[in-house]
Amino acid sequence: MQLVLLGLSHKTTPVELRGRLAWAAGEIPGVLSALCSLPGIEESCLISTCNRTEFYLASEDGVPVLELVLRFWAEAKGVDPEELGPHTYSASDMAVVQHLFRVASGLDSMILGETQILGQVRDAWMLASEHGSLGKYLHALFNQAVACGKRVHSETAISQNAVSVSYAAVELAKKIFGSLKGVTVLIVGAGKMADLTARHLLDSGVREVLVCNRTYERAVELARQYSGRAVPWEDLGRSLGEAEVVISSTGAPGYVITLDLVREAMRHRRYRPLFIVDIAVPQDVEPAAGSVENVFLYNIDDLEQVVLANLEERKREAQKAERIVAEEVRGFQAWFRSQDAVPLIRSLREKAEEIRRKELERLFHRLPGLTDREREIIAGTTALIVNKILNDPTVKVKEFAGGEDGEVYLRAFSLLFNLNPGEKGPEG
Amino acid sequence: MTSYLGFLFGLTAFLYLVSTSAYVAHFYLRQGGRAATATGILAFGCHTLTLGLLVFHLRHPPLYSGFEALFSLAWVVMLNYLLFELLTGLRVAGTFLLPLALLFLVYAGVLPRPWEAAGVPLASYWVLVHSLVALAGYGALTLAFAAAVMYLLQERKLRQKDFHLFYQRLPSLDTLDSLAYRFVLYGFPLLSLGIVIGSLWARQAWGLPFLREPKEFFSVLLWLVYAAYLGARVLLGWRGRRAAYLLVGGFGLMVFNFFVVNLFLSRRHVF
Repeated sequence: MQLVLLGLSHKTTPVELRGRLAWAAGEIPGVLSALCSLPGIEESCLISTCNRTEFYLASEDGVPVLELVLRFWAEAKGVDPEELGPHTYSASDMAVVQHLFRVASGLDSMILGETQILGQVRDAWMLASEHGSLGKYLHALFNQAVACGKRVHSETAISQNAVSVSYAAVELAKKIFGSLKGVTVLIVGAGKMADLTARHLLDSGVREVLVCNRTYERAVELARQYSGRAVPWEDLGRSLGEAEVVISSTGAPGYVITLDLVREAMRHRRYRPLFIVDIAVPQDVEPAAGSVENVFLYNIDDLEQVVLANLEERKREAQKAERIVAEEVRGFQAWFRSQDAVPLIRSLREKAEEIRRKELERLFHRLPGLTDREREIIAGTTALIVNKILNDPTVKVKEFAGGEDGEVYLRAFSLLFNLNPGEKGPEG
Repeated sequence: MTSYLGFLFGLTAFLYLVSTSAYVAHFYLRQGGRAATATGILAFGCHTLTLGLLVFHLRHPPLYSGFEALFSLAWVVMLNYLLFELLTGLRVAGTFLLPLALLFLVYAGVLPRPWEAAGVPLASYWVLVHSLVALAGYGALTLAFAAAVMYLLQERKLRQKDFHLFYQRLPSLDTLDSLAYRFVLYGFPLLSLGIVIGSLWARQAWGLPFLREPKEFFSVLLWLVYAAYLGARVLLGWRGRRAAYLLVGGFGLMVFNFFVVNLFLSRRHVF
C-alpha cells in the first residue's frame, strides 16, 4: 500500500492560477468518484481552499498514481499537463503524512499558525468520508492529522497572538484591561481600519460603544451599525472621561484629541487607565498625551510592531510545533507499518485453524465411541490451545512491524511459519 | 545528632535554586511548565519535612530565632504561591516569587543555626501568636510585592512599546493590579492583628509606652503604608503605577523591619 500526495499551494503557484486550478465544494464529490475510478487508486481525499489544492491518495504499490492524477487534473481544468506539472509538488508515504500534519497544524500556511486550515482539513475529510472515497488508510491519516493540529494548538502558543493590525489593537486592550467585558469603547471619526477594530472589539464582548463624529448624522448611522450610542462632537471631552478604549481615525489635519483634553478627561475619570489607538494619518492625538499617568497611546506603527513581535513569537512556537508533528508522524508510521502484518496474521490463523480442524476430524474418526459432549470439550480445548499459542506471536509481530526493522520481522515471520498470504485471496 | 537538619536545610535551599531556575527557564522558553511546578512541589515538600523535623527537634514553634523566622517565612510564601498556582495556573508569578523565597533561605543560611544554639527560654503563648500572625501577613505581602513588580514591568513595556518577552509572558495590567490588591486585602488584617497583639503584650510584659520599641515603630509605619494603599485605592480609586510603587515601598520597609531593625536597633525582637 502506498500513500501519494499531489498538490499546489501559495508557495508554488501564483494566485490567479491557484484560482483556476481549485475546485468548488460542490464539485468535490464528482472529483472523488472520478479519482477512485482511476486504475489502482483505492482511496482519495481532496483539500481545496484559496491557498492550496491537494490530492491525497492511497493505492496498491507500483501504481503510477502521480501521472494518472496529474493528467486527470489537467484535463478537467483544461490546462496542459506540461504547464501544470512545474507548479505542483508531490510526496509519497511518510512524506505525505508529514506534509498533511504540518498543513493541519498551520505550519504550511501563509500566516503561520492560523487555525482556519484545520477546519478545512476536517471538512475535506468529512466530505470524502460521507462520499465513501475513504478506506482504512486515508481515514486514519486524516483522523491523526486533525488530532495533530488540535494538539499543536493546545500545546503551543502558535495561534494565540494577533497577527493583524486590527487584532493587535484588541490584544493591547486586553493586556491593559484583562477582560473587555466591562469596557466602553469610543470611536472618533470613521476610518476603515477603525471600523474593523471596532468590530473585533465588539466580538470580544465590550459593554458599550460610543460614536463621535463631526457630522452627527454620520455618528448616528455608525452607532446603529455597532448598536451603540451617538455622541455630539462637542461632547468629545466628556466621552473621553467615560470610555476605556478610544479609537481615533478622523481625516482632520490637526490634533483632535489634545493634551489638555486628555488631562481633563483623566482628572474626570480619576486616572483609571485609558487606552487610545490613533489610526489616523496625520495623527489625531497629540503625542504628549501618551505620557500622562495611566494613558496608553498607540499609533498605527506601534500596532505593526506588535504584529512583528507576535510573528517572531509564532516562529519560536513553530519549532515546538514541528517537534509535535515529528512525534505524531512517528506514531502514524508505526501504525502504518503494523498494517503490513495484518494479512500475515490472518493467514497464520487460517493455517492453524485448518490444521486443528483436520486433526480433530482424524481423532474423532479413530475414537468413534466419544459422546457429543466429549467431542465438544475436546474441540473447545484444542481451539483454546491454538489461540493461546498464537496470541503472543500475533501481538508481537504487529508491534515489531511498526518498529525500525519492521520489514525484517515480517519476512522472518512469514518464513518461520511458511506463510504465503498473497495466495490465500485478496488482502487489504 | 543534628547534622541531618543541616543537610536537609542545604537540600531545601538547593531544591529552591533548581526550582527557581526551572521557573525562569519556563518564562523564557514557554515550555517545561509542568516540570517547573514539579520542582516547586518537590522543594516545598523537602522544606515542609525539614520544618517538621526542626519543630520536633526544638520542641517549640519555629519562631524563636532569625533563622527559624526566615525559614518559616519562605515556607509561608511558597505555600501561598503553590495554592495560588493551583487556583489560577499563573506560573509566571513563580518566576518572580521563587527567587524571593530562595533569597530568604540564603539569608537564613548565614544566621546561627537554632539546633546548634543553647536552649532558649520559653516564650509566652501571646508572643507566639503575635509572631505567627505577623509571619503569615508578611507572606501575603510578599506575594503582593511580586504582583506589583510584575505590574511595573508590564506597564513599562507597554509604555516603551516593547512587545517582546515581558509583554508576551506577563498577564494584563488589570489582572496584576487586582492580584496585588487581593494579597494586600488578605495580608493587611494579619499585619494589623500582629501589631495589636504585639503592642498589647509589650504594654503588659515590659510596661513600655506606645511606639518606644523600634520594631513597633517601624511596624506601625509599615501598617500606615498599606493602609494608605488600601485607602487610596478604595476611596480615591488609585490604580496602576502609583499604587504599585506604594507596594514596592511597603515591601522594602517590611524587609528593613525584618532584617535591619532586629539586628541593630531592637533588643527585644530576634526578628
